[in-house]
Amino acid sequence: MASLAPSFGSGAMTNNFNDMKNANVILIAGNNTAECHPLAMRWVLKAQKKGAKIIVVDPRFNRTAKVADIYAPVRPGTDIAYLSAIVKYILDNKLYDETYVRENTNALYKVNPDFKFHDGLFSGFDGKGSYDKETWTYQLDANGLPIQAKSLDDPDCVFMKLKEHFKDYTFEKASEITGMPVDKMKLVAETFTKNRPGTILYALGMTQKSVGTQGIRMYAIIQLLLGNMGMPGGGINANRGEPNVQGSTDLALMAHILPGYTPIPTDAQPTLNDYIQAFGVANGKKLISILKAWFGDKATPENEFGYHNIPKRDSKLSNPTYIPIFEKLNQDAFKMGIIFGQNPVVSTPILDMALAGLSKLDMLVVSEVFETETTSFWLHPDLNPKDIKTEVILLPAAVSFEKDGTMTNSSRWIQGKKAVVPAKGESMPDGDMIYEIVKRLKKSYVNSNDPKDRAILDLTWDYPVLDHGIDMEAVLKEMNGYNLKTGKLLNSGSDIQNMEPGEISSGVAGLYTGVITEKGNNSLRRDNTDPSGLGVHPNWTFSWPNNTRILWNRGSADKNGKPRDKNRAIVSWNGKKWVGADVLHVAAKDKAPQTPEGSKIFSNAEGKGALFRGPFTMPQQEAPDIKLKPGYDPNVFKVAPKGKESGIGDGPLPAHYEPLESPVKNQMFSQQSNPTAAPVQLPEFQKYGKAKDYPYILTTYMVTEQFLSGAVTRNTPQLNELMPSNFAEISKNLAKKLGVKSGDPVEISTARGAVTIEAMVTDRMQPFIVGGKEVEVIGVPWGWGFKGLVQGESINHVTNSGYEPNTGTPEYKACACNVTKGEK
Amino acid sequence: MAKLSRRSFMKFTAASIAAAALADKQKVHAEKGDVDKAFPMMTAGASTAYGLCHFCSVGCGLEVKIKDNKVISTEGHPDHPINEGSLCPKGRSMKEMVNSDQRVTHPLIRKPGSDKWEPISWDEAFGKIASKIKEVREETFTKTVDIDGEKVTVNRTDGIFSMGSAEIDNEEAYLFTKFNRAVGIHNFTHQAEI
Repeated sequence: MASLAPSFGSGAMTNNFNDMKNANVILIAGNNTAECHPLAMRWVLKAQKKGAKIIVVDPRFNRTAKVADIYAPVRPGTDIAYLSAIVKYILDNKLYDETYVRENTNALYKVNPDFKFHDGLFSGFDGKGSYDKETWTYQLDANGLPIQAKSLDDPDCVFMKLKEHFKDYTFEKASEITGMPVDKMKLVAETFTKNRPGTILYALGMTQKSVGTQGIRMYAIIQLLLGNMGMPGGGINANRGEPNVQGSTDLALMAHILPGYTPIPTDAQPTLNDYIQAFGVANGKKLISILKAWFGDKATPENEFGYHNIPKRDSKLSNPTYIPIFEKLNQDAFKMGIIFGQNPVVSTPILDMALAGLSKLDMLVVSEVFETETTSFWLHPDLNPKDIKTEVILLPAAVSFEKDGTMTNSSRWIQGKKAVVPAKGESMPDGDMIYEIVKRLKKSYVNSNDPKDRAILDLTWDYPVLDHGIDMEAVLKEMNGYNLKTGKLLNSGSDIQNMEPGEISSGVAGLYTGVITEKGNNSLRRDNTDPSGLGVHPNWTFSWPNNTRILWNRGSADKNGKPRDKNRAIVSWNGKKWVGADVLHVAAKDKAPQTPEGSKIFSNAEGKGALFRGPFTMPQQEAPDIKLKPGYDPNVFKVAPKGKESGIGDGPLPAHYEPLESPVKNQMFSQQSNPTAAPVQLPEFQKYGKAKDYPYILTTYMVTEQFLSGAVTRNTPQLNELMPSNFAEISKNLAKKLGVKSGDPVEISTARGAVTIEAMVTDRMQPFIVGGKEVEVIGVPWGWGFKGLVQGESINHVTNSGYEPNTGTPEYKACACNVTKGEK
Repeated sequence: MAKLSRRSFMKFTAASIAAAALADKQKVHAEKGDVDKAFPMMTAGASTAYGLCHFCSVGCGLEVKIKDNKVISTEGHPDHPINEGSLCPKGRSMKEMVNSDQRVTHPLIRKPGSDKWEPISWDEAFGKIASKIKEVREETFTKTVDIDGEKVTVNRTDGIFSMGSAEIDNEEAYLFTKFNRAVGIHNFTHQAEI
């Protein structure tokens, strides 16, 4: 979500599954919906039945492609090239929605004259691996606000920078790079621009690349240009993976954020004042609402609301954390590891690195439903348990049917459920395990006077215990937040911003506020009526934020508050207030459409969709000249910036770079791959292969019947009957060259090692013609390992741990490999 | 699957024919406990509960049939706006997951150098975990760092990493975040990153 947030203000599926039926065209690129989100496909097919065109772009003719109107193949890792050609086509042929672009994007903002892009590098590159972003800025007036051009033809404005930046991406050039035939690419461009609104579906097929963030930025740019944002049937629909990955991201199980996408404090902000100055007023209020939820009465203005109870991150670190954890493990940085419900010994690229790393721990604690490759890594066939001194504690987890709680689906619906059967054996909900561990920690520190231990001692942790575990509704209430003066639950996330800091608490900083109120638990609502017929279902559970079902929906109405498409009227201004099927997003409900509060479309610092994304600070106008008390001074809210954008590390605009391992040279620039990719830390594991030794492309994915790492599904007999073993999909052309047929073993080798898997010879795979050269792609489902009722070799033994520099996502989708006939 | 004897096969066939005839005329209501009908449905006498699928992020609703405190079937919930009664093969298989004999049902410990699991009580497991967290926290804690000559309080526990999970409920994820941050853990991530 590292690209949607900087583009618009927050990152999530913008619309929802039901809304796809409102689209006139659906581009599915980077997501195999039929295979991986089968019931979402239902809404794609409903759109198609009403006449919508379905376009699938994928390296492989997959299950979704089978029902598409248009299928266009693309070489793994080169999406930005063909998407850039589509942007050029839109700009050259003036197919953009000029009104939307002028009113709702930063197209007219004038860019710093020192901003440059030359031969694959933006201005400010340090020659090593990072950028100084100071030239990626706007020209500012005396008040610090962006200077706007009068016309889109102004050579300084963002719109003209866009034209200049994408001018070399002709269909022909993009075809040479991607292997997508020119006529197919033109057809995709024509079909997607001609039929509006259109939506884009993506998933890990776009993000598991060294240029993942910028790939999604292409989607943001296209959808802003076409005026598709905020429209029913439009938007950018990220189809997320696990059942609660939206929730776990909202709740910040990540190094760089706190709940509700509140930035983590770093050592560059020694005090709470510094934090609010650095991240702006809105984030300051969010952080204080979390601190009040976590430390209750012990969080006071005098102690900066317990600001120092939160570990401050090293400000020199970038966001990626997953691969760095395995790197640090191998550098002996950790003595203990805690893993809840995750199976890294199947899902980490270069599994030897994960195995060696875990073997260095004193203690590993794992909560799981089944024994997995991770719980039992010491039984890996390549290891000798005698040599592994790690003590492993395996905690048996209760499953979904055995516990009360909520999960947030990809549509941002916070859906509640109750325990329906008792937990099996002694198994226990993960929440209760954490509850018990913290209770013991508190006890062990009870006599400490060390300030560092206040975090544990002052942590609010008094949850009522019911017969089947702690009261999860009490936890949900803490997450929702309270008005601390009245003791009542908050109704709206905007309360966090409107009330005095310190007078409210909210564990998720307002993002989930409204999910449970004094009137009841909205996550349990099950009224499926849909009065508008647009798939809004406003009384089905609760959608963050504030029950809004389509993000940025203010943009579905024009500047006067009139719906831009009368068949897709979802919010409108009735002369007194905003009304409609959905809850208005961002703009203020009682403010007229032409006012600043009533015209705000997006929630980033500018309030405008970012075609060009550089750093920007929205200053506070008429800030008084006050000397702040040290630590925390409430006056900081009068002087701190209103909002802040830090930009994206690898550029304000996307550019085509080859994958970190590629069979060809970059045909656009001499800069071969993402210049900001992280350097290798463990040369003994993290090896890169050359095209002459590894001429083919390895890509990985999953199948319907075996889910992700397979921890559950490979223990499920009825699914194992459907999908009993793994396979490597290869083209007939390659099969002929190797002399193998379906069922024969093939050895897939990379610079990291080799695995042997049965071949599946298929027309679904076709070689690509790239720069006149034939390039084969090998596809292998990744969720296999040595535990479970069915087992198989893990392709992640040989994938590449090089990762996307903004998000940390490894480039699983495009590795360099060789394939030979394997031994039976 | 147990082999059907000829006798039971005949009985089965007769029942199937009777059930087919019955199905034409009337619905069999599982909730009413119509167990004496010619065609005893698997779900006869079962209670019905609402559940959520626990595989991908689409979030389908489930109609869960429960008998003797055991999930006996999972079907798509007809009222759920997304799946409208349908399910994919994974959602359909959820009853196997909850009932599986492969599940871990009590806490286990693998001792250093050992090649097997041994049982451990919850109390002992929690005790070991909490004291190890404290031990490593005390050993590897960074209170302050020097930034441009200024001492900055950072309160970091460096020697523990933490991972998980997009598979647990929101409330659990929230408690997990709270726990990690209170301990000072900053090497912290989960599936969303990969």
